[in-house]
Amino acid sequence: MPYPPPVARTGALERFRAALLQTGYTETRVSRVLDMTTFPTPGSAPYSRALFRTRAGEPFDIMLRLFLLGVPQTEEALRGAMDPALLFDLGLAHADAGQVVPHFTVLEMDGLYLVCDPPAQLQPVMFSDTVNGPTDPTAALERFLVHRRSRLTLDLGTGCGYLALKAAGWSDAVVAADINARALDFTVFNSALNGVPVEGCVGDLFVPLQDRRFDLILSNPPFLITPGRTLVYRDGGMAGDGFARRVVREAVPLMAEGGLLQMVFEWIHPKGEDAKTRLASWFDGLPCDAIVFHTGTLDPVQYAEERIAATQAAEHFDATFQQWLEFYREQQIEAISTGYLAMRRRSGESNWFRIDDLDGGLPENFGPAVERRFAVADLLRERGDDALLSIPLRVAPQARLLRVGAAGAGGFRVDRRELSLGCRGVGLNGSLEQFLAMLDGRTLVARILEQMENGDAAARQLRPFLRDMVEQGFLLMDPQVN
Amino acid sequence: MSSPAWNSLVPALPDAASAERLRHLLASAGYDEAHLYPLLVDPGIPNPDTPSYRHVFHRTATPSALNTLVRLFVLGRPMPQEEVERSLPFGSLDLLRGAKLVTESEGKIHGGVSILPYDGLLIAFDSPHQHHEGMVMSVSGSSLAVARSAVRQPRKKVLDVGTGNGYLALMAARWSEQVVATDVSRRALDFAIFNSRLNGVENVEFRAGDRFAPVEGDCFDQILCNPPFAVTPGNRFLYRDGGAPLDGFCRELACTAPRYLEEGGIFQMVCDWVVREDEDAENAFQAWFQGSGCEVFAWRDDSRDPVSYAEAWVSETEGLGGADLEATLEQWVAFYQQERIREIDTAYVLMRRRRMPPPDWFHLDAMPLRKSGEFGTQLWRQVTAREFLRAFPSNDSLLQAAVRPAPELVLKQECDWNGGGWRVVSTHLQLSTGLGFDAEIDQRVMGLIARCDGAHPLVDIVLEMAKALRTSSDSLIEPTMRVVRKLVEEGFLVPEIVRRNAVN
Repeated sequence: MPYPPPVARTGALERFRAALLQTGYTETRVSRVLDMTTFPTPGSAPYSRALFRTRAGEPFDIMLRLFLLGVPQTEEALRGAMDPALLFDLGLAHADAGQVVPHFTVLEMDGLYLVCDPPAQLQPVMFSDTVNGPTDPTAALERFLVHRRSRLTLDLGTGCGYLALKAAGWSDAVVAADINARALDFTVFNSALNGVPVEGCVGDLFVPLQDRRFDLILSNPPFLITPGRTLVYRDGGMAGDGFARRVVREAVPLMAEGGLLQMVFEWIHPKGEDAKTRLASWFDGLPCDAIVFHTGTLDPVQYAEERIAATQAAEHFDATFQQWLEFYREQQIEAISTGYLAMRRRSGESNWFRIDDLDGGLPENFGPAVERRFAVADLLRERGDDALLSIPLRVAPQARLLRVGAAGAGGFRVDRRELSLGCRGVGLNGSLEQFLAMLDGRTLVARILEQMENGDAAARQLRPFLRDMVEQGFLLMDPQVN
Repeated sequence: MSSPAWNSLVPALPDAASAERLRHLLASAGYDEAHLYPLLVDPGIPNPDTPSYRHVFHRTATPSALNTLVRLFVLGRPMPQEEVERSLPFGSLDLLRGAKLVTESEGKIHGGVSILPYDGLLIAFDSPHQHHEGMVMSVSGSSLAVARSAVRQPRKKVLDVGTGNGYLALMAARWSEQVVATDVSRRALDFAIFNSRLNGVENVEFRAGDRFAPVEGDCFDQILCNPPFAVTPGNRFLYRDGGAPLDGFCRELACTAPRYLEEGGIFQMVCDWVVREDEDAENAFQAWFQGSGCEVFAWRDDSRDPVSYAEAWVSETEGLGGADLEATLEQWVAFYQQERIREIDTAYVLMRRRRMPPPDWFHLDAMPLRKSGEFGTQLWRQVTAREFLRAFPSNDSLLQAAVRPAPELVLKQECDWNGGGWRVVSTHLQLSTGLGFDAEIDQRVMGLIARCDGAHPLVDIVLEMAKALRTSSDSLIEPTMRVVRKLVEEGFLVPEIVRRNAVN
């Protein structure tokens, strides 16, 4: 049986938080001890190394051993960091023969303290109502979110509540929903621990929320394509990608006009069907514009390898693997894609759907890029295909032009040009470089082309690039155009 | 299930014909870097307890010649005889038996050794899962590093000291007429001989014995060594600990190796040295080479405090068999404390035997973090650059020399947009392959480099620059020559033909 969820007792809660702050229990400091992306299995070299690195027994070391490595500590040792009674009061640990036995993982992430169930590596058996800490998809979804003021935000499938607490930063009110009642107990606890108000709501999908209208619905649903329903946080329990499709269709009535649904999900490539056409059909007839950022596609073997390793303890790997592969064969699933959906409610006509490929995953701070896609689409719809030629543009201040070449004939012979912005880059040729140099943020693009030698040729070359450059943020439109 | 005793198998190829057939079997199955590394998740032989091992196992589920070979010689997984016979060409199993690469028990075929491709060579070694003290190791990262740093010029005679599985000797056989390889372990030599035959390499001679003992009286153009360089409290593994206390093994090598070098010949190794609490790292290292009769070039690659040093070595080499790593770590760190060790540094070393070593005979530089492909050519360029600069000690003499950009020199210019055009923010010099040297330069230096065409002596270039800048050439000479010396030293510019009488 999993431990009962923690209890947010006032008084104890504030003192617990103060102790965390005082010991400097932060992500940065923890990462110096546990310098790896996945949690190490006890007994492995990185785990032993973490024990070794916390051998000094300072309050921080004791906390890390207790809350991350899951190692019971003596009441005596813990007292240097905090009163053990606090942990008993809050249901975070129990005493056993002078030892404090931790129930949960406690971590700090981006300014928030979070309590959740320990990772798979510390639990030989995963319970079906396990409440995970933030995972890689959570972090990616966070990078994806549009931080535009929201009157009411819903975090669907909130888990330990991390994204709900984050979204409170730009929302007037946040509802955190989960079918797993235990998860909401953690969310409520974490909300109180961080002093960030969030309304909890237990129920299946949107059922209990029918009378609410949201400006933002975000969701990290149980999106994996798996045969069974063993882990609530992982297995949606509907054949294939049916669960994600259901979220899309059922979210619409709860979205305010102009509101967004943002979620991470996966879709299948069934044998004999075009996966993109099939995915597009999910959005048929909805009063919404939608864009899916496709970050990767795996064949069943790679998919099972990666997802099983990421979601459960190692020892049952082989059996689960066989079972999953059997399921893909039976269902004739040839591949599985991962992506991020941004869907905007826009009642009226000519709603659109598109898929953008994002090789290399979702970049940092991608929310503004999502907003730009919608802004450009709106502009082109209102003003026609040449809309971007009839406005002024400027180069993003963070953009850098990189010229690479060799020394020769008394000068710099440029072989290659690239415009980069963060980790993205786009190749340029000499005339595009010249065109960008002539932009000034005031003159219409069409005027500039007229001034250029071979401006007509440049214009032809430019049109397909221009939309891409604006959408990717290399070129900025005047704010009034937006 | 009884698995074979660790040392029961030493592969052998009785004749050239069977070597040829085995080579063909592995090649036609696609047992090479291009096919294997995508399959392996992580490079190297996966540990059976790890996800990588299971992944490779599942990826090799479909019967094929390559999958069977991977299961036998990468995973070390016993396979039903029938399955081996079905997936490999007719007669292959007999070939593997004849080469003593497999054993049999209860109708199953066991891969007795591991085989991996490196740099186009197939190298057999002991399966690392057994971790026996006398085992023949895979090609280690440091061995690959020595190979990449090796100066690859045509040689008559190269020596590989402590060859292990033979990898370095087989690499050197590509640029040397003759190679001699020694090892104290008979077992290692048997593997090395097997590997030379498997790869059809005929110009390597293997001699049994400790370090230089088997080559007493011989001299070489080049000596390579990937020594057991780890600084450890014990003497558990030959490949790691070497048997001498602290850094004694490598220090002794530095003393001994020059005796086996021809005049002008070079000794290259990778090694660690300890720096005690009251010592200066550079002085401590220089002391190793005092009176060696060599000009010594060293490139420091790493510098670690005792704790992170222990963590790295212990996790890597003491982690098998459920050992208590935490206790081992504490023991190692206590040992360093007791020895008053402040840091342990790693360097690539190149010793060049000179009858008269120059007064500045020791050079310790920083090795760039980024390295790609072989970089022996670039290390050698730095060695010859010192010689060149010594030959032109004054500005006046250097002005008569000509230099040109290194062939792999790349200029990178970063610009930002300032509201009405591009503005150069920085210009960098880089080398596109080998060592990731990087230097920020200004427009004037860029102009200088662009004019260095290898045809005009530097004096012409200074005059031309002075004219373009409308300044006196005298004022340009000193700063320009300073920059040229630096750029030549770091290998961005290379000396060209010298025209001593070009200008008066």
